[in-house]
Amino acid sequence: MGKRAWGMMGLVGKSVLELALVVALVVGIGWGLMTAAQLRPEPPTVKEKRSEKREKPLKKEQPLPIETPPPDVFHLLGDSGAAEGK
Amino acid sequence: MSTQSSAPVSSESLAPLEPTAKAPRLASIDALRGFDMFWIIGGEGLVPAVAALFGWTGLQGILERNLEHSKWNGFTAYDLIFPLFLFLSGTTMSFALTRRLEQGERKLVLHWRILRRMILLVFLGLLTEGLLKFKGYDQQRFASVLGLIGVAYFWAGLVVIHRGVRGQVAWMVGILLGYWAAMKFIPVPGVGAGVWTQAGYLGGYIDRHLLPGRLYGKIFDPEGLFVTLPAAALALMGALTGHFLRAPSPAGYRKAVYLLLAGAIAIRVGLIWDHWFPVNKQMWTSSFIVFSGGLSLVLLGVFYWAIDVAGWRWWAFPFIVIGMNPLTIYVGQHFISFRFTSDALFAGVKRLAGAPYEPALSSLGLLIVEWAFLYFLYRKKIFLRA
Repeated sequence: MGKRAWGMMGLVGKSVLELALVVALVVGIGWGLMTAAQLRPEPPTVKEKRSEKREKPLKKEQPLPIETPPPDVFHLLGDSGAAEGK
Repeated sequence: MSTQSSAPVSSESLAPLEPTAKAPRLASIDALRGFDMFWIIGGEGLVPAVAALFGWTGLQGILERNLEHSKWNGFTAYDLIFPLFLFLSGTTMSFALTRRLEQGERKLVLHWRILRRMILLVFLGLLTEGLLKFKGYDQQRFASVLGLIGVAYFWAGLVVIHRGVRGQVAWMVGILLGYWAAMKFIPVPGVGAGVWTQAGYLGGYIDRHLLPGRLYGKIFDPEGLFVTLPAAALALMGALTGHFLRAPSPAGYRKAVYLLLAGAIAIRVGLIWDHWFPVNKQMWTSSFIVFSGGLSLVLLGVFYWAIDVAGWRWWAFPFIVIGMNPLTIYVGQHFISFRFTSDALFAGVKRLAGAPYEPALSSLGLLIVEWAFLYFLYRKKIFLRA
């Protein structure tokens, strides 16, 4: 084979190698994005968001949650807030 | 966005970089870009309305089927509008980037140009998606048509700046094969690999988790993160076509014939690939890229032959006026009520003409107003560029 043929083969080989590297790069980017996506929680779908909104309002006959503090609790206890450094 | 003046006919309307030296301008690229834009600024309404008016039911049926996007797999004429635009923006790279490189411009400067262009297009895309309506983070769509053009142009621009023609071919083919391999073999959690449904494909999963705000398709976005890569491959196909158009030989009609041949081959390859990786506009599948790139080549071949070889320019002028300012009309539609002006000017004519003519006259009026606006800019040599 002549020099010219070897030269052509070299060019083709380089191009094929470059192509293979690009394929690997794109697959790597896809894999990287997918891995990054896995680290984040799935956002709620629109349906889920709507159902969440529907669940929010409390029914009238429902009692207030026990944890709710009574209003102005410091005043009732005679605490002016000095204990908290106010 | 900057307002620049230049010669009335330029081959770089959306490509921001005006040539540094006089070179033969290809009106066919502007005309084809204008033809592409024509369909989204009013042609989609006008042509079916005219067909209905004259009772051409066969044509009307074909138009109605083709003037909306495919639901998922498959292809309609409307699916070609965006990829054709991207292909043409790639075509101008040869005139905008490669020529500058040949003239000795520093690569760093070109990097800054394509980066600035990407940032501006992403920002304009955000505006067209209602950024200034302040609907909140959850309701703002961050992906956009302009954003995808900007990012894809940036990726492709990097390849054009750093690689020769052979390297650009390797990158184009490599991206398409790599995208197919990623979509085929990377398993999506809870679904598996190679499930090409709206809920199951890799790009949709990535968009759901990584793309902030609202997604166009609720659980996926056709202008999402991963699709910027195949879109860049299409821009590269355009860039390679641009190099071919700029080359001194072959000349004349032979160049058009080569474009048509290359287009026919790409269409065939896309259709064959469709058996393994379906043609799908939403996912920007590799087969879709090759297929739509082939159609773009055929259209460019026809326009090039008719306008730049045969010299039949008269019919192309209306499209050239649109194609010189595509960004203006695309963004302008979101901020200027052309419909309001059209109604103010043509409501009386529509009433006089009667109900059967109303849909056609309505679309025609809108197109006339938009075109008159663009013609005014054309006459004043004002071209808005990113």
